[in-house]
Amino acid sequence: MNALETHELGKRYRRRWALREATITVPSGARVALVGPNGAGKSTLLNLVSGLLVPTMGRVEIFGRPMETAAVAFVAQEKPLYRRWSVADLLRFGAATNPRWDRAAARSLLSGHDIDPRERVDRLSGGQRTLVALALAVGKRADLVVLDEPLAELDPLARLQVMSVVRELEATVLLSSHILADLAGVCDHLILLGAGRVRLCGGFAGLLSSHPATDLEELVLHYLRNPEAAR
Amino acid sequence: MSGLLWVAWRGQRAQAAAIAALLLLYGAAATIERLEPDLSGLTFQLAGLLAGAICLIWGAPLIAREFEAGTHKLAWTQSVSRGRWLVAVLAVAAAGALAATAVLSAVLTWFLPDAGGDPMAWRYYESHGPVPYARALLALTLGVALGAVTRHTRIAMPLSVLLVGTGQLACRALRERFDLPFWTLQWAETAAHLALALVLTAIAHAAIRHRA
Repeated sequence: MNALETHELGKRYRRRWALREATITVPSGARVALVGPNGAGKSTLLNLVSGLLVPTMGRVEIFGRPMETAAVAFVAQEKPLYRRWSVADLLRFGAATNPRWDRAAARSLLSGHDIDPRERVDRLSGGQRTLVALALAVGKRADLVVLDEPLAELDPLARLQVMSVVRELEATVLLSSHILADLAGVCDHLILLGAGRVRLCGGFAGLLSSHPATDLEELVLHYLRNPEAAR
Repeated sequence: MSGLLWVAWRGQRAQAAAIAALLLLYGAAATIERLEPDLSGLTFQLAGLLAGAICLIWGAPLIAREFEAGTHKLAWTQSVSRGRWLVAVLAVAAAGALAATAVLSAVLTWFLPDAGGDPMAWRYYESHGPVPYARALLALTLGVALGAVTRHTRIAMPLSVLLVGTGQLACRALRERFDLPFWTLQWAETAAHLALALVLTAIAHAAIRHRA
């Protein structure tokens, strides 16, 4: 079964289409890199998939069922957290708002990175805040985890920590970045967006064998330089 | 649901503390008034300001602050619908607003002699019966709805205080036009306030339903 399917998905803000006619398929267990230049529609797609936005047209299905927020764990780009709360308060928030809450999994992620639950969120570093946001996503025990630019603005050590957490997630993962190199070691699928449209969607191996490119970087660059090649 | 109420309470603790501090000031004003008979009526006059404080401190930031901090993206992507989230958040805020009104009412009745004797004088009328409770809920939901629609505390806070103040003055003017007995007027005004509060709650819900 596919973890995620979208059909002719579109989102319009006033007169501008941020995303249109996006039909994508993500098989269960895939680790999908969502790439594309700034403004290509990556955040819009992820906000639609996570249920934060309602599509202007089309639909989203998670494991064959209509979208509901319980089915997806989402970490938004700014990793929003209640900054005056303690980490323990946030875990209690996760438990109160999610019926399948896995306290042990969330706690072990934090203790594995030496994050004290008594600490206030606004006293944590950017990397630690990302890990707390990931702990909330892990505790939700959703079968699809969606991460919007999880590595943006992190130092190299924090990037490694976050990527190792992502690698160990026991779920289908969809994560975005505008730097492909960040994702190549973790992901096995690619969705390329350009100007609000899906340019490429598929497994790394399949995409490379059916296109005249030697590596992913070259493939992505080719499609970004020649938007018409996708059709 | 009890867990969700805890979430709502955790998010509103600071507002509750601020209103509690304001109630202490009311207690101080009532004490001063008892010691200084020249200041008779002072606390009753100030009592009208509680509704404004509720919409300013508690109502307006309730949803606007979530938008400003981006935390609505956290709150609304858990397994709880936005409607249920709003119900829990409003339930805690409404309980706080009603409790604050009850405390102020107790301060006024227990510590102070009735000001003037005329039950239709606004100082007395607006601090007795069900009207102050309904007004507190109306002020709260007005702040919440403005915060949800404008998404900015800097707009919702001053605007809601302005509207609550104008509404209070309008009610005083309307009351003089209707020559009704005390309790009839009290219940009519209460019903109108509560109906408007329900409309404002529906507006707040509509404003957050489809937005990210």
